[in-house]
Amino acid sequence: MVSVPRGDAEATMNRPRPCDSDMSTVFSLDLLANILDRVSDPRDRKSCRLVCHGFLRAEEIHRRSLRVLRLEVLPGLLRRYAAGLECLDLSACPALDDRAFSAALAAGAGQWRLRSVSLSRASGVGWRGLVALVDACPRLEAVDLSHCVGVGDREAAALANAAGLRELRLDKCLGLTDVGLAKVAVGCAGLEKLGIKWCLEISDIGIDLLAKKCQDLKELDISYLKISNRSINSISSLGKLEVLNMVGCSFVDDEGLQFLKHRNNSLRVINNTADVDSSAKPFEWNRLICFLSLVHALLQSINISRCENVTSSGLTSVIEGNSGLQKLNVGDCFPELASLFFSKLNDLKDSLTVLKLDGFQVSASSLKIIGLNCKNLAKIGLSKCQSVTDEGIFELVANCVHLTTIDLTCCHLLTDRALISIGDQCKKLRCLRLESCNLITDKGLECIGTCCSSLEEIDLTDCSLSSTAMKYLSQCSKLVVLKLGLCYMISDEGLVLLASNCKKLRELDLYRCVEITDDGLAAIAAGCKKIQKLNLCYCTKITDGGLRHVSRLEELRDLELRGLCHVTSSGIAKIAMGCRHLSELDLKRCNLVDDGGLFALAQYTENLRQINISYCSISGTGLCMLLGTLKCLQDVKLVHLSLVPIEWFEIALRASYEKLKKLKLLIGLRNLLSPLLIEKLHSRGCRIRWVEKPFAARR
Amino acid sequence: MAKMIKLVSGDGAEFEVEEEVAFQSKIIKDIVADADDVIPLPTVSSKVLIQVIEYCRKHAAVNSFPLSPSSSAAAAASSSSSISYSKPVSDPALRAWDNEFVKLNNSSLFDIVIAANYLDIEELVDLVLETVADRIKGKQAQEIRRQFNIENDFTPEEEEALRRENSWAFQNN
Repeated sequence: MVSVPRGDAEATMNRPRPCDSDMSTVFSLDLLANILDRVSDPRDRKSCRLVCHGFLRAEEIHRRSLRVLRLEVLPGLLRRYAAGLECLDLSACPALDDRAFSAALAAGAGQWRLRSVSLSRASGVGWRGLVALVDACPRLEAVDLSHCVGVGDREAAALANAAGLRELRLDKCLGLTDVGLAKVAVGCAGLEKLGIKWCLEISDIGIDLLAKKCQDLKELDISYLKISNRSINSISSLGKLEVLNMVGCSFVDDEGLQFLKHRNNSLRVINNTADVDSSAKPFEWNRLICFLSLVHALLQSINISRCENVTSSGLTSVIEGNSGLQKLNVGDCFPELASLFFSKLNDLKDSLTVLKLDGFQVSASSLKIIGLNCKNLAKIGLSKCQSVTDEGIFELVANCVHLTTIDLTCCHLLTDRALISIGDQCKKLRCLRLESCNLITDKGLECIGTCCSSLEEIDLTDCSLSSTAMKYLSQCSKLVVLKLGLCYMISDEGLVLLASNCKKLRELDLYRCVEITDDGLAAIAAGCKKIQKLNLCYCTKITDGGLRHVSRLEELRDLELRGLCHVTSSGIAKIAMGCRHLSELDLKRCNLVDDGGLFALAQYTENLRQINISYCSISGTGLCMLLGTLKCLQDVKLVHLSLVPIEWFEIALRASYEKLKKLKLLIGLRNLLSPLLIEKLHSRGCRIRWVEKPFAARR
Repeated sequence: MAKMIKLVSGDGAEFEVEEEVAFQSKIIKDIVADADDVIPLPTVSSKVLIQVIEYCRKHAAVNSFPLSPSSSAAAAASSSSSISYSKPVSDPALRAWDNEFVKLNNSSLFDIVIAANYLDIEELVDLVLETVADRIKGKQAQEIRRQFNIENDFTPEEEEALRRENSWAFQNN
């Protein structure tokens, strides 16, 4: 409830006012903040900040979380928001180092109410920065340092001073040893969630001390550690543990799991999928399943996909012990599922809402049993279940009328009849995946289009559809994601139909829909203004005119234009000027695009983070301009830029090594670029992929 | 038979309203509980009071029951945001009436919301603030200033600095 002190209201009432009152003076800060709370679109919020001091002040006291993408603005922002900020995300801020971090924290000295800070992948931050953090923020509860591979015991010692720490992620902090872990365990005794995945130096000793000191632990991730059964014994003493992740702990075997048997039933999720590595000591999966069913009476979600040695009797035990199960993912385990398993699903009939059976041979009678037993099923995954037939689908949907998501990717046998069954029964359908169901025709979509008015997402990649199908689909006015990749027959007419009614469309995939021309794009640009992601790869009839239409899509973030051989820099410049939120751009094999396009991008697309200019006709100047100017650029693919001499590569990469996080280069360059440069890139956390690709154009 | 409450506006005009209409305002409800049937409202002008009473009269019929389980669930659900909202108006006819009610210029809206805030009529405050928020959505800063007649009190340097911050932060709100 918002309150204005009576005194203020009286004062404002009695003051002589102009004809149109000024909102920022008439309203109290509380009321302004209340209004801002109702303005949810980030872009609107940004506009509000710029209106006047009153609005800015309201926004300042109101903002609780912040994600910063560029170092220069960090001190100013933190000074402004220090009083109210609770969550700070600096994981995407390139070149953040201790000095900058400490200076930024000093900007709000004494005021910090920060509770959660993310420094994931911020490889430049070390113990000095963390000392500053812990000193400045007395209320610190959660820190994420995952993937900071240089973090080690000194950093852990700094964190150990944050006595109120509840959540700590140190996954992939390769320098962490038992010593550092012990410091954290002693200093942060109230720890509730800890992730030390991949910290390969940790041993049983460290885990033992951790379990003794941090009795409040609820979630623990010890995946891939080289720990033995002794650790499991230690962990079994944690009375409040609910979630345990021990993926790929290859030194733990049945004996270790015995320890988990004799404990309270608070353990909720155990995630024990094995690596596909048969050289490791064989693991008796069925005994694991039995333990799970004994121990986890409260189990809600189990994912045992890709467990090669699980058989259906093991799965059956899972169901027997866990009547509250809501999500069951047993995909990619083994080819056949016994009918006993299916009938056991009856035990879960009220609770089971999500069932994933990817990769299994599921017969029609099995689908009938699923339908009869699990009437509350909302999501079913039958991806790559190649033996699924129309009859099976008919049996399934006859009973599961509440289905909202159906995944039938690669179910090659399905025809329009299956779609008619689905349309008849599943009126609440929101998401339908039919990639590679080649027997589907336009007719099948007629039923879907007419009956499934809630449809939001449909994947028709590689189906033989034409524009007639679009006529039917355009009835689904709530459509948000539409994938038509490899539907060669789709033409402009289809896009016009689509644009006439599907105004909410955000993602459109027209990969290799070669009949599309500029006119189709004109329709899309006029009708589907909310499009954020657009794939036009290899739609070779598109020219600069088409890109001029695309530039009117103001929300566009992700644009793929591979292989558009008629597009020139002029078209790219139009995109740059029109789509100011563009963040990802793929221009591979647009061989007419030269420096002009890059200059435009450098000037206008400030938010560009990912770009692929492989095989483009750019020179060294263009490359330097692009890499040097765009401060948000983090992921660059530069394969086969044959017009760029080696010296220019050096200069361009040197100008940008501080911000790059991913780089793709031709393998021949590895010996030609200076080792110092490569080392510098690595030290800043940049991952380089060296590829061997022939120059010849693809088909 | 309904008990009448007398409300006196800032400029001295008197308005008699039924008890249940006046009790839309929690403040009035509290004051009346102390056995006071004539309530002076010096900060509210007649023009605004008439409009507020009109709203309360229309909504009195809907809100004549104490908090039902469904509305307390809605209140609980919305308590996760920093501001709590009253339960949304479910009756489409009433909603249509509300939409007509708020077709006023900004100045009138501001008067109403300040009065409603003072009188603690939660639903009316929500309705007006939601309307104001709608008038903000989709606009650039300059347009917002023009809409609400707000003066730009930033220096050019300040504005430039704010624009730079806007580009390089707040991606996830």
